[in-house]
Amino acid sequence: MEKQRVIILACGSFNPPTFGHLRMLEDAKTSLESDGSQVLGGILSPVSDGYGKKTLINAIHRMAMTVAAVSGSDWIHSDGWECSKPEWTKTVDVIAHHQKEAEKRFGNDVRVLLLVGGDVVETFDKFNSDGTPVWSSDDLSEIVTSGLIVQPRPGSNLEKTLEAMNFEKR
Amino acid sequence: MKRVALLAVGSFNPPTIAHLRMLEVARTHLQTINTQVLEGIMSPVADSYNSKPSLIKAFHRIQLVREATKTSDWIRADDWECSRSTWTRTIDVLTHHKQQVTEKFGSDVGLMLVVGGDLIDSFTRILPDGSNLWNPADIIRIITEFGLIVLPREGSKPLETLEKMNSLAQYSDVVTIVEDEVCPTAVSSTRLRAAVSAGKSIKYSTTDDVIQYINDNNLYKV
Repeated sequence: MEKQRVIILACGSFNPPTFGHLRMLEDAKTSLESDGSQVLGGILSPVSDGYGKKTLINAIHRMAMTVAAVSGSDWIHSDGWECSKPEWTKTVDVIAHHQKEAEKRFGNDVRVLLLVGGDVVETFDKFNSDGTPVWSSDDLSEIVTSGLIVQPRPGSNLEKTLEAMNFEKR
Repeated sequence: MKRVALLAVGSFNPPTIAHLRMLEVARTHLQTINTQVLEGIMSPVADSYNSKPSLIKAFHRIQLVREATKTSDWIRADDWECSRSTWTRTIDVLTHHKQQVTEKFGSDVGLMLVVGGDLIDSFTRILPDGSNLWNPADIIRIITEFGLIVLPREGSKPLETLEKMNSLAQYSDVVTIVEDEVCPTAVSSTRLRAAVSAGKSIKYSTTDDVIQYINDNNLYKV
C-alpha cells in the first residue's frame, strides 16, 4: 500500500507559542506515522491581526516568536502567508492555500491536514455575539472531510460536540 | 532579605521540563515573599537506591542533569550523592549541601528541599524488608530545620498524605505548597522512558540537549 503523504497544518494565535503547541505537532506526527502515513512537514500559521482579538499582539512579533519556537525543529516551520494579510482569512482558505503550495512542492498526492486542539472543536457549534455562527457549516464540512486531526485537551468534550453535529470522525 | 538555596533530589531518569519547572516555580514563589534564591541544586540518587532495570547508571543520569541545566543561570547538577556507592538518606544529602552553601554563601543562607507531590505520597511507603522508606523523625527535621516546598503533581494529594500521618499532621501548615499555574504539566520520566522505547518523539518535554544525550548514548531503548 502506498503511504499517504501528509503535511500537518496548525493554525492559531501563537500569542505566544508554547511547548503545548509544539507537543501537539510532535504527537500528531507520531500518531500519523504509526498509522502508516509519511509526514513531510509541519506548518505553524499565526492568525492575522485582523482576527481582532484584543489580547493579540502584533503579527510581526507573533511570527518572529513562532520562527524562534521552531528553530530547533527539523520538520516544523512557520509560515507568514496568513498573518501577513491585514484581514482575517477563513481557515478553509488557509488550508486551500497550503494544499496548493504543498502540491507544487511535493506532487498531487500530498494532503494537508489541519491540526486543532479539542478546545477549537468545541467552538464548531458556537455562535458569535451577533448571532451568526462562528464557523460556516459548509466550511466545517469541508474541513472535517478534507482531514482534521484533533488533540483533546483536558476539559474538552469534543466527541460530544462532533457527534452532536453529525460529523464523521476520521 | 532571607537568602536560600534549593535542593531537588530524585532519580532524574531522565530529567524532564517538570523537574526544571518545579525549581523555577519554587524560586518565583520565594521571591514574592522576599526571599532571595542563590542557587538550585539537582542531585540524582545513587545507583544503589533500587535495582529496577529502568534506573540507568548514575554516570548517565548526572550527565543528563548537566545537559538539562546547561542553559540555566542558577540551577546546577551535583554528583556528591550519586557518586557514593550506597544510598544516602535525604536528611544527610541536605546536611551535606547545607554545609556546602554555608561555605559558599555564608552562614545565614538556608537550604530548602523542593519535591513533587508524588514524593510526599512516598512518605508512607514500606520497603520490601518491612522497614519504612522514610524515617518520620527525618521528615520532621526536613520540615522544621530546612524547609519543604511541594509542587503537587497530577493525582498526588500531598496535603492529605501529610495530614493523615499522625506524626506529621501538626507540621502540615509549615510545608509550602505551590502550584505551577503557568505550565501545568503531566509529563513524567516514566512517560518519557516509555516514549523513547516506543520510538515516539519526546521533543519539547525535556530539553534538546537531554534528547541529544539520550540518542547519542542509545538510552532507554529497551
